[in-house]
Amino acid sequence: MANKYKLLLKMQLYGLFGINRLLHSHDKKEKNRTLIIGIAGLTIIGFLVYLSGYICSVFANAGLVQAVPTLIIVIYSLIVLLLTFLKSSGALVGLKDYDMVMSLPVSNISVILSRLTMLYIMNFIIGMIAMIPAIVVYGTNTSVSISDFFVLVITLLLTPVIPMLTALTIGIIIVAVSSKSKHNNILVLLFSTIGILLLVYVSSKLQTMDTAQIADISTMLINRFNQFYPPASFVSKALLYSDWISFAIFILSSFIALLAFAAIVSYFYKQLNTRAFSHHVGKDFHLGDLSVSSPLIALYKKESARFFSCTIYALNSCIVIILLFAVSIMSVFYLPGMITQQLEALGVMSVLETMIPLVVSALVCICCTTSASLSLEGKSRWIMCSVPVKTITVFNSKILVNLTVILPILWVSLILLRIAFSLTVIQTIFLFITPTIYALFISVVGMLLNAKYPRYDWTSEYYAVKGGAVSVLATVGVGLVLSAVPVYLCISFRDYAQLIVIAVTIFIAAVTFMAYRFLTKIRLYI
Amino acid sequence: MNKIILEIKHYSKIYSDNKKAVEDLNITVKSGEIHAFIGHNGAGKTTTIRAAVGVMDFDQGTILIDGHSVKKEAVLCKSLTAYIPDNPDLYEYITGIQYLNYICDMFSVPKNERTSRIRKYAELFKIADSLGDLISSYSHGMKQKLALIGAFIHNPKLFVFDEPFVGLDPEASFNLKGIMKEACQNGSAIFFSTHVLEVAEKLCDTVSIINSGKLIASGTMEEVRGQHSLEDVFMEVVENGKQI
Repeated sequence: MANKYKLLLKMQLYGLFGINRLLHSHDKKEKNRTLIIGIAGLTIIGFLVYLSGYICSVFANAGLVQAVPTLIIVIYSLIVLLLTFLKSSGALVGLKDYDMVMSLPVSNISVILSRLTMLYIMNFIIGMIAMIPAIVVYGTNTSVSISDFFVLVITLLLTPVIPMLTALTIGIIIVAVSSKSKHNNILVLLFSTIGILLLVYVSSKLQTMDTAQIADISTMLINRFNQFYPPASFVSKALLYSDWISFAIFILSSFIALLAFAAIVSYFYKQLNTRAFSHHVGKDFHLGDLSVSSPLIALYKKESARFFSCTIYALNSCIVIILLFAVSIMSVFYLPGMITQQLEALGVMSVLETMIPLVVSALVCICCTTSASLSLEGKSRWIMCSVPVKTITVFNSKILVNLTVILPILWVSLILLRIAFSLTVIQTIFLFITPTIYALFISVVGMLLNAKYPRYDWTSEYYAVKGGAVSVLATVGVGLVLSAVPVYLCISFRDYAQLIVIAVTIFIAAVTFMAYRFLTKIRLYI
Repeated sequence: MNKIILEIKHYSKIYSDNKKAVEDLNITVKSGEIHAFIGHNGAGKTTTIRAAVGVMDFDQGTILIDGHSVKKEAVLCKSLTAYIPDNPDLYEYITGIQYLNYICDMFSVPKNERTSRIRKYAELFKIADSLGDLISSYSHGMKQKLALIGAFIHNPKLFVFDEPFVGLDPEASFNLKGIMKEACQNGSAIFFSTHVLEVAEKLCDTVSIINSGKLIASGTMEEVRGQHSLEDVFMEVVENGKQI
């Protein structure tokens, strides 16, 4: 079994971060793409390293160095939980290569363990990079003995196990529950959205606890973390009080959870996959009158169906706009009067109100379906390329879908924000105009970048939407830079904040127009 | 004399690493003709087919469909053509009927003709009951049948198929041959690649053989095969480099 497991894992590792493709590809575009992904990945890693180090040094400076181990475990676990949850659909159940793998003379447990190991390796690498600065902060602020070092190493190795299994279990339950329905992807999307909103809620609760008189609530904070996540408590006790029984419980619970999970999933593996691959089959289909649409509307309908068919695509594109909506509701009902009074007393309320359109625009720039929409055509792109319509019509349909996703929720959110804040007439006008222009801008730029850097050769939709999709990374980067720079300018030149917002809106509108003109000249080929 | 529907003149395709996939290819397919395009794997068949239907760019040569340039009047040429690739991956997230209606919208099939045309072909290929199901639930053969229905429902002047018989059951293969002949009788032309030489021999009026990107035989079936079988001729021209 061990040998087969190693062979299965080896095949998985060939696909890790596209390194094998880079080594064996003679395509320059492929190498450039990998380089861009590498740079983007390193930037994200740099950001994580900075964030992790910063958070832990804030705790250490506040005299709360004993809270750092708990913090390490909680942040590491949340990262693993979120990353695995986003990948859980198709990671273990409903594999694209299920038939091929299961037809090999291998046991279920070998297949499951090889997939788990692969997920573990990815989570471990990302988690380690993010957590090393925190460990350095902890090490430099305390005297680390050999036994402490041993505890830290084992902790880092085992921490991803429980959150990874938790996320996979949720993912499998979602697949099991929703596979009976014809509209299972919409259900998965709904469950996933609720799951992410819950995660964000928990994270924001934890952040609120941080800022509220941090020094006084240290004990409560640690207790909350430890109550919230017992494995963190076991590790803290081992590090702080050399409680080896707690540490043994942590190690044992990780291994038992892993073995129990592998055993249960391997026992039900075929049933689970049968459910995942089973489809709703209609009976006695009657062919009636068919609706007639223009090519643009037909493409738009098809594109909308695509949006709802792919959970990760829909989640990636609309979760931030849903969060904006949630924040807008909260700002109407729960905007603390004390905060607004303090901001007014400091004389920054006016500039903040002027900047709201830019802040909302920054969020709008993260919501972009177009940057992955062309890549998602994948192997079906022959249809798009062979239908008798101009390429710009295909692009227009994809841009329309993005605007359909963003604009209704955006405009409702803006109405709520207008109710929450007392804005002048000009501020109100640009509250609506600026984010709308940015929505158009990001839709067009996302389309342009995806047309320039399409990735059709994906084996899982995840890779077209998230994992190494140059167009997606570049679109978010361009959008964030072009919305963050004006915010910085407004803060630096407060007296001209309104003028800056107006100028930026006109500039973005002009860039959008030029990008669209460029888009009209592109032709699509296989 | 029948009108020329597909005309490939001096077509060459060179990839970025200077590898010539196809070199100076000349093929003509007339109205009412079924033309077989045969060759080894990697001979340049799919590259030629993709260029002919306007889904792949090319640098050298001219390709005309019903007298219109594929390069200059791409949309018009596509509206006259039905194309099915060798492995027709369809949109798995929509139902069979949604796919067919999408194709009808794209090719502006009149509303009053849609249902009857879809019914005719769906019943012929025995997938009428499954049209309400998601394409992801279809077998490989059913997807091939759906792609074929999508090709026939808009009555194009030119059909370009890459291995259309792969995955079809014997009855569907038989029916496909029948509707191919019917389409040609109505004035369309069919240009398709195949590895099944017996099918090409029985079904086609004209044939072209391509080897390593070069056309080595082209003409009517009788001209190309002479007194031999198409298989014998194919082996002869491909292995010995003999030109016909």
